[in-house]
Amino acid sequence: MFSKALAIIISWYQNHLLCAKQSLNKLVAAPIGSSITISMTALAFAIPLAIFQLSQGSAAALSSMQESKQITLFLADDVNYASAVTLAEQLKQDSDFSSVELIDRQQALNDFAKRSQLEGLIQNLPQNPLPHLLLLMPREQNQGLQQLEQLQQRLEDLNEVAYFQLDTLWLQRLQAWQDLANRSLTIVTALLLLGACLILINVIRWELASRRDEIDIMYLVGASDRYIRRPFMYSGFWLGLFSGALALILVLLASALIYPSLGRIDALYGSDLAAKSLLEWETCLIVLSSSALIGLFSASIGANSRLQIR
Amino acid sequence: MIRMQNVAKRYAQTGEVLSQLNLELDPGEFVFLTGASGAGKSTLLKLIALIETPSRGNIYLNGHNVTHAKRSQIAKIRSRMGLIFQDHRLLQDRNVFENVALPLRISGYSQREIPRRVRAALDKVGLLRKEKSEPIALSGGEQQRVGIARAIVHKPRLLLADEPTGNLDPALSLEIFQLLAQFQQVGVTVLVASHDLSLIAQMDKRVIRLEHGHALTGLRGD
Repeated sequence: MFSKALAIIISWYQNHLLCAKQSLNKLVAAPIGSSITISMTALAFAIPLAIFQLSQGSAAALSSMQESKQITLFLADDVNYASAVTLAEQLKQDSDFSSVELIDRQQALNDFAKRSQLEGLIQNLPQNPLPHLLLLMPREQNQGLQQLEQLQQRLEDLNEVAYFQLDTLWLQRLQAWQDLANRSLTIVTALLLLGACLILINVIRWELASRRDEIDIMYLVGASDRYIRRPFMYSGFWLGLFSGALALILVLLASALIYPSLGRIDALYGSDLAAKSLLEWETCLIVLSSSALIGLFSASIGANSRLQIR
Repeated sequence: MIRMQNVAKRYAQTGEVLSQLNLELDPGEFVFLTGASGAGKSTLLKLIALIETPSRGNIYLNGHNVTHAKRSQIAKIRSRMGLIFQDHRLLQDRNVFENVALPLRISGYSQREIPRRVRAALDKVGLLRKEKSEPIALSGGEQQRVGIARAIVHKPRLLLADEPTGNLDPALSLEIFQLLAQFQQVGVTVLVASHDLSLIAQMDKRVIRLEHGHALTGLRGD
């Protein structure tokens, strides 16, 4: 009983292996047709992959531009240095902020005088017009737009604060653009993947049509639909897999070409776009497995659409 | 083995080919099916092989009503039959061995089992030395024998042959009939459609003659 089941499993495995090999041989036997199909599908895979890679990098780079998230508190005129220090100490204890820096008004004025070379003029001022300043940096997990707005609410309630500056509008705009980019990327990806599927479906349908006589004979000697479909499923699998591999190669080539430009941007912005533009091996695995799945899926649609006609 | 009850088959273009046909074949019988061309011999075989479905009536194989068998069942039933065609229906892109191996591959035989059975079948039809040949390189008689090897390689209980000698000269035709008769001796039910009455007379088997869509049965040697 057990050995019989084992024999069935082994012969099933052998038959699949043979079928996979034969489908591969058929693709290799028609190199021009196969490579055109694979190239077209690979392009459809590569374009969204490249955009995705680039957008991953730039999103990371944008969110790393810290200065935009720094909150500047301008303390009220009547707050003296001692209370400013107390407030700074209080906020340092607060887990919402990663750093708190106090800039005292006298120091700020001296700095300004030095930098602006207006020392004479400033010395003649009846009083220091600058307030004490607190520079707050929210913690990583508080840097989202919503969390920042909550922090803003809290800071507004502090008595010592005259007003404060947090450029949430800038962030809002950035987020809106990112949103638009993400949605567009999703739509473009969906359309291109649909295109890839249609190409593969069409190829499989032609393949079936050209082997109609052979298929009829196989039906006559007792082949099931599943048996007839199997070599075409493997063709779809191979076409998808090779397209995925070619797409990865194309994206690697493209990132090699734009690597120097990214390096220049990184140097200017202090970002790490260049490093982020490299493909990770997880991404490669995901691309290969999903392209093979897309191939299988397309082949099953293509084959079924033809085999229904007896 | 085969029972047909009041079977009719009507085509949109040609009208009714078979009407009120009743037919019974016992297991292990060898039967010739004759009749003028257009009498419905091929149609009758196609109905039994479940290639066509009857317009009316019922068809039983091995006691099971297969008139309205589902697609998946049809494949299974057909994989237990052997079909032989006038034009051989060989796959031209595969050699003799692979052509004969086809039913075994479809039924999922193991790689070890397949060569043994293919060679036994080729030996039976006298083509053991031709297993690597392409079908196109064989004579008409040889191609038909490859077709027969393919039909019997999986040891079916029922063998259907549609004009298997249609393109062969009388000497070769007799050889083919005698080959088919050998399978009857090991218990296979054989149904052969042929219009070659003089050859059929030499075989001394039961003959069913189709006329106006009806079966005139029970005749011997006609």
